[in-house]
Amino acid sequence: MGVERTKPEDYLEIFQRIAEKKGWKVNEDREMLLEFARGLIENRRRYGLAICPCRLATGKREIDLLITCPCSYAEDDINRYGKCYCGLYLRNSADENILKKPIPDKHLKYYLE
Amino acid sequence: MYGLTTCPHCKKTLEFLKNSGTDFEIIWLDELEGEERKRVVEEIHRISGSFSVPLVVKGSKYVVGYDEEALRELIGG
Repeated sequence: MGVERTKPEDYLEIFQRIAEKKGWKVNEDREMLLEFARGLIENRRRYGLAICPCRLATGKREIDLLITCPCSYAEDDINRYGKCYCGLYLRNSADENILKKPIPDKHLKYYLE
Repeated sequence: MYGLTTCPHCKKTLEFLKNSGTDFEIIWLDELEGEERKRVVEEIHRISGSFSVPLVVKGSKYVVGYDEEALRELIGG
C-alpha cells in the first residue's frame, strides 16, 4: 500500500495483486471491496496509515503498523480460519459463508493495554 | 449498535437495521475521542469479550459481525 491512491477503484487492482502474490483470493463482493477501499482511504487520511477498516486505531504508530492492510495477522488467520480479520482476503479454497462469523482478534491485547 | 464508520460489515448491519424498521441507537467508535472512546471500548469488551464490530446489543443478547440470520433472531426475540 506504499503508493498514494485516492480512488476506491484503484484499490481493486492492488487487492488482486496482493492476493495473487500471497496465494489468497479477494472477497468476491465488488461493492464490499469498494467499501474496504473507502475505509482504507479514510484511515490513511486520518492516521497516515491504511489501517484495517474493521479495526480501531490505537493512535500509537508502532502498534497501528501491525494492522496496516494486509495486517501482520492476515497470513496466520487465512491459514487457520480461511479469511483475514476483515474478510477482505480469503483462502483460495474458502467458502464465502465463512464471512458471516467473526474470527478472534489477535490484536486484542493492544486494546487492553 | 456499535461500529466503525470505515467498516463495510458495520455499514451492511446498519442498512439491515434500518430496513428492519426497528428502533436503534448507533455509536461510531471512531468518532469518539479520549475518555469517551476508552469508556465505550471497555463497554464493548464487557458485553462481548472482544472489540469486534459491528456489535448489535438487545438487552442481554448480542450479535457480533454481519449475520442476517442472527440479527433477525435477535430483533425478533
